[in-house]
Amino acid sequence: MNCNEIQKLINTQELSQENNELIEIHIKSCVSCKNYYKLVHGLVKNPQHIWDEIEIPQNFANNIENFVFENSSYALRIPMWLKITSAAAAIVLGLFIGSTVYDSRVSAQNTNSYSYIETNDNLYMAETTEIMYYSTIIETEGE
Amino acid sequence: MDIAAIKKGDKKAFRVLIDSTHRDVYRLAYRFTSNNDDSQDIAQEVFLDAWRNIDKFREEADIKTWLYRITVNKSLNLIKRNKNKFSSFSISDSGETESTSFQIAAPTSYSADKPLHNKELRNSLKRALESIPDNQRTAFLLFNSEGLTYNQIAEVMETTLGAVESLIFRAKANLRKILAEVHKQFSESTQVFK
Repeated sequence: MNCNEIQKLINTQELSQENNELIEIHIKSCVSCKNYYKLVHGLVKNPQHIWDEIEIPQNFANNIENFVFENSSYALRIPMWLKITSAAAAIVLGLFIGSTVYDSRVSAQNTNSYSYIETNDNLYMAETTEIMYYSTIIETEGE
Repeated sequence: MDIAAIKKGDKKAFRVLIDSTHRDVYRLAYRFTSNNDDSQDIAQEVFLDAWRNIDKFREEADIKTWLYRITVNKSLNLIKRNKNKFSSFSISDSGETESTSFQIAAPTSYSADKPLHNKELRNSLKRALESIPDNQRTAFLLFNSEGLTYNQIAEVMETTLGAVESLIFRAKANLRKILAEVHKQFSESTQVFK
């Protein structure tokens, strides 16, 4: 079998005993196909033997412990019931403050509109003065 | 391991957890990142998260599985944040390559007509792993590096047993495709230079 045929065999997911033997014979004398077999078959099927040994840094457990307890101080454990109650209280307080502010704005607007009529509307004041003037004249003429 | 004590805030009990699991957490992070500093950062953050969220851990579950889940999430997040650093091309979830040609640089010492050594095989596998979808890589690493069972992987990845089987099958198929291409490219370049 030539290299292309062998590599096609290697590509198959599960190798039969017969094909395995054909491959074994071929790769004994073919470095390229041996490399192909290692990469495409061996490496994917059984990579455990090639993982590099990982060295854990010295005192790593201590470092982790220090890191955790130095950084977790701000994250005090708050029970869930307290979180829910606090959230509900915050919503109620927000609604209360919101409604109070809204009420005060509305009443302020009403007051402003009233004083506007009373003091700033010159046309209204002129008309009122004119009516009062004419009613006084009429009353005086009547006498 | 006294999880109930950890839940009450017992630091000594948490230290026991660190002692018994930090190697596994570090190793898994290293398999994803291939970088000591990143793996140390991830491992520290995993335990910080575990300490802060231990209330959410169900005691009937396996604590190691829970730590693995946090490690996977943190590792993948780091890889996403530093995408340029970790990957040069990728295969989509459907299995289609998102680039027209494979851009994995094979080890510099790679030559198709010289026997491959473990270091070269390892580098090729690392680069190929960086190129397959996250969920396939996760399932493959948990099975082949950490030796987890399919059931444990399903628990870590919060998915079904069938999904894990499928992910590992597709991971292997994609890795074969990529590694075959690496071999092809270097066989061709070796012939050109001869």
